[in-house]
Parts: sequence; structure tokens; C-alpha cells
Amino acid sequence: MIINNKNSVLLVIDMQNSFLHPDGTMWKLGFDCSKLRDALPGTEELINKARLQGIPIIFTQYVYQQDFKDGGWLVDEISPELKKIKLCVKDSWDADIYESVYPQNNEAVIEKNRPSAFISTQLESFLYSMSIENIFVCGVTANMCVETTVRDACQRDFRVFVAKDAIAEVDDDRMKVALMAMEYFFAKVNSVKEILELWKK
Amino acid sequence: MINKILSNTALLVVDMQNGFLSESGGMSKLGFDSSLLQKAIPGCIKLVKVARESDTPVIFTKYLYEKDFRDGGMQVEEIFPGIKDVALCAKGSFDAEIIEDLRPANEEIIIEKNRPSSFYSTRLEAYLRSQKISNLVICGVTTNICVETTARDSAQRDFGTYVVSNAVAEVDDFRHETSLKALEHMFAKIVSVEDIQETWLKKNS
Repeated sequence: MIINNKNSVLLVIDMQNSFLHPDGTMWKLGFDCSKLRDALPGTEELINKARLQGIPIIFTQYVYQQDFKDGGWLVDEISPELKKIKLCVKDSWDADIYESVYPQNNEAVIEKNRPSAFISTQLESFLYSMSIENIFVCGVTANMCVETTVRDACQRDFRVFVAKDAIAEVDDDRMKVALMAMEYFFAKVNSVKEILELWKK
Repeated sequence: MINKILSNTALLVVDMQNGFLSESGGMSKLGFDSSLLQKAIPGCIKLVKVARESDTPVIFTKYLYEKDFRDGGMQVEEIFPGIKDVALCAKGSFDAEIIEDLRPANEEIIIEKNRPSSFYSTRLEAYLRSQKISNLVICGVTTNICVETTARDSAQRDFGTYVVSNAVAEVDDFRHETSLKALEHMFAKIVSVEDIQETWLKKNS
């Protein structure tokens, strides 16, 4: 297992105003979104260290068309309230990435309209063209977009490391099972501290 | 809502194989309690029966690795090497066979897969699109791994996705229950065997 800044990437999932800022739309759905802010310190630290060590960073951004015609089954049938609250509408403040973890000019931002960052996005070709083998994952929410992305990454044979204290979920049971399921069959689950140790070597 | 699955719908039976369900299967050898997974059997049998009676296509998936597990990838190499040690669902083995009680009929499709998702690197999606199937009713094992990964993929590809809570099973009750919560939160409608029986039997009346 070789980890260096040529074959590794930090993947920052959906750290957007909608989920993290008290004025974000997700906060209007009645979930305890303040829990999602638990992912901020760890994510900030990973981003800072990745930049210092030259590990490329890819951000994902959950984005829907204004009229939600790209929402599909998830929006139409499972969570119609996403349309009502206008979650992560393209070009809105809500969809923008949260200030303290904002991408720099040269960093890639991948837009997606499904929980997985692999479905109908440029992520996979990006990773292959960069010859990436190791993906370090942080962001929100642990059981939804993070876990769906991690399941997809592992099945594509990337080595996935999940930063357990740099992900967060609105529901404690779902957070717990997300970590259990990912560790059971999809990823190595580590603390930010352990990941920073791996990066030092 | 459930009337939507009266047409353009298939039953997907995930990984109901000896490897998971038999007391002499690979999962048992790994120390898991196969009796917990056997809880899915009666529901799956009822669903397959009502599907056949109502001319709803039945699709089976089969978790299958090459004998030397060279197609196992990251999951077998690094996450769960025990799979290789017990030769879970190796091609040609008893482990890989679908259980006797759910033996596919001649014309029924079997999708082989070597990853948890029934969609990833398989012919499932092309098959569904070509048959104009737009809804999947999903049963099988295990709830939190292959069923959930498949249901997440199905929903994200905009298939109407229905997971049958009393025809899926997991080796851990907490993961089973919470998995259904996660699916219900963003990916699937959670239904019962009885809901499906009632709906599909309407087709005949």
C-alpha cells in the first residue's frame, strides 16, 4: 500500500451552505443539522494538510436545476420536500460550498445530482486520468452522500479511507450504522489524526 | 403509490444462495449466524410465487467469484480477505448455487455479479431498459450490504425502488433496521410481502 501525493486524493463531499449553515435549506426540514457541523473542524484540517503536502483535493457539490426536473425518483417520489425548500439549486448561495472549506482556484469541483459522486459525473474519469489509487473521504452526510460514494468507490477498486471524525449525519443511529457498514465491506475507517499520520510517511 | 408497480415491474431476488443461507455455506464458516439470514426465505418464496402467478418477471442475482478470487478486487484483497479463505460463492461451488426453494425457472434471468451492487459491471441495467421495466421490487440478502447497495443504485438510476422489509435479512439486527431507515430516507419505498401480494394479485382479477 503506497500512499503519496501522486496516487491519492482528498474527496470533500457536499460541504455546502445548505447542509452546514444555519440559514441553509436542509435546516428547514426539521433535522438536527447542527450535528453536520461536527464534520467542519476535521474537514478543515484535512484540507489544510492536503494543500501543504500537495495532495490533490476534489470537492463535490450537490446541485439541482431550478425546476428540479433532474431530481428523478428521489425528488419526485421519496423526498418531494427537497423541491419545496429548493435544496441546493444551481448557482444559489445554498448550493455554494461553505466558506471555511472553500475550494481554491486550481481545485476541482464536481457537480452531482444524486447521492453518489460517481453517478453521471466526471469523477471517475478524473480519478483514472490522475492515476489515483487512494481516496480519502470527508464531508456530509455520512449515511447518504458519503456512504453512497464510498460504496461506489470501493466497488470500483479504489482504496477508500473514511475520516470518521470529518463526516457527520443528522441521525445518530444512521451515523453509527454508516460507519459499521463502510468498515465492514467498503472502506478503512480512520480518525483525521490517523490519516494525517499516513500522509506523513 | 403501490399501484405503480402493477406494470413495468420486475421482482429482483438478491443473492439467495447457499453461501449466505446454508448452515454449511461460506458465511457460516466466517462465523455469522445463517439462521438470521434464513428469515428472508419465506418472504422471498411468497414473492416469487405471486410474481409468477401474476406474470411479473423475476430476476435473480448471484454473487459469484472466480475460483482464485482474482476478480475480488479491493473488497476481497484488503477489506474482507476471509471471503477468499472460505471460498465464498466461488464459481461452480455449492456455495454459489441459489437455494433449492428458490430455484429459477427456465426463462428467468440470472444476473451474475462480483460486487455488492447488482448494477455495477453487470447486464442488469441494459436488461431492464430493454424490457422497459421501470420499477423494481427487491428482496433477498443481506439487507445492509448487497440489498442496500443495489437499492441505492436502482433509485439513483430512477427506477421505482421498493424494498420488501419482511423478505430481506441481515446478520445484525441493528444494521438491518437502520439500513431500512436509510433506504426509506432517500432511496426506496419500504413495503411488505403482503402489500406486494395484494397488489400483484389484482392483476389477475
